[in-house]
Amino acid sequence: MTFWPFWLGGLALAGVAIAHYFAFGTQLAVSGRMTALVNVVRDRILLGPAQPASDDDLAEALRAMTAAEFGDAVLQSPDSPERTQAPGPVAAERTEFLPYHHLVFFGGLAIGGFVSAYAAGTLHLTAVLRGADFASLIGSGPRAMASLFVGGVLVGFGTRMAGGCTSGHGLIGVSRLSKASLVATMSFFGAGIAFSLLMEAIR
Amino acid sequence: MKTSIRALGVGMLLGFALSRIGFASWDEMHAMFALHSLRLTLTFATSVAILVAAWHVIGKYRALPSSDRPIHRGTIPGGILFGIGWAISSSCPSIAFVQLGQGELGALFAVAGMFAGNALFAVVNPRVMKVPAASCMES
Repeated sequence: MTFWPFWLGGLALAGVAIAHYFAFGTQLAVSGRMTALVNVVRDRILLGPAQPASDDDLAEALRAMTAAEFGDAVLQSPDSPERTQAPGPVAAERTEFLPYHHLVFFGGLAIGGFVSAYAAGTLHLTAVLRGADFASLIGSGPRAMASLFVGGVLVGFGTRMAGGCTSGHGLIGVSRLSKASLVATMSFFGAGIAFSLLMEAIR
Repeated sequence: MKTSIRALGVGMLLGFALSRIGFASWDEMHAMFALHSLRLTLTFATSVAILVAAWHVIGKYRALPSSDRPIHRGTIPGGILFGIGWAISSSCPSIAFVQLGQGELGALFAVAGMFAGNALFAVVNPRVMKVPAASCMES
């Protein structure tokens, strides 16, 4: 596959970011979609299946959510309202269904990659990832699979901790001149450069 | 339903573009980070420059969503962990899904890792780090 020159790629990425805004009213944020999915599963586990719950169950669920969101300390403070007030809105605010459009978006990414590879005639199955540098720096077989999993964990953990990824912080945040996004983007680009140079040095 | 159709359309556009740009290739990503090639860096910079102008124009006619996210003590360490993970797995995070579509099955491990890492932060953060983190879409 011949890759696009930088001006065409830049135009395409900007076009997708603008299309995302007009399609949803929100701005492109891929790790935010992952967080939304994970949060639904978390709420399901903490709050149980959708059915009428007793007041005690609801109070316990609210306590668990409060602890998850703000830490255990807030529940122990004497003026904490959670200890005395009725748990009321928890049942109404919980997500009753999976936000399928996030899954559909991830599916769309895969279909886009499929169409691109198919049209270019480069579509075939690979056990890990393709690339000569990948094979020499990361390896193959179980070692490469384990590396990809560990790398994925760092991506999932880091993007949630930093509050965004290449799309939300890098493309959108920086172009909106957000200071936090500029700091986050410099952090992940800097770390990516440093670690890649390190990988080459110790190869 | 309408949201899902739009999500499919925008997702496909992004997936196709990322594949054709070369962001979905591990070797191209490494060439960017190891400073062998400036093409992807220039692609990214061009896109940001176009978007600065685009938001300026669009903002005159419509109220854009808030982009005012606070810097907190998770911003830099989170970014560093993400950068290392990106350099290893090439997932940023869309890329893993695009690679799956291209037939690169190893990306399944990166997808599993990303969801595990996201969930791990949700579990660990309130007990240990207590970073006031809110993702782009939540805030």
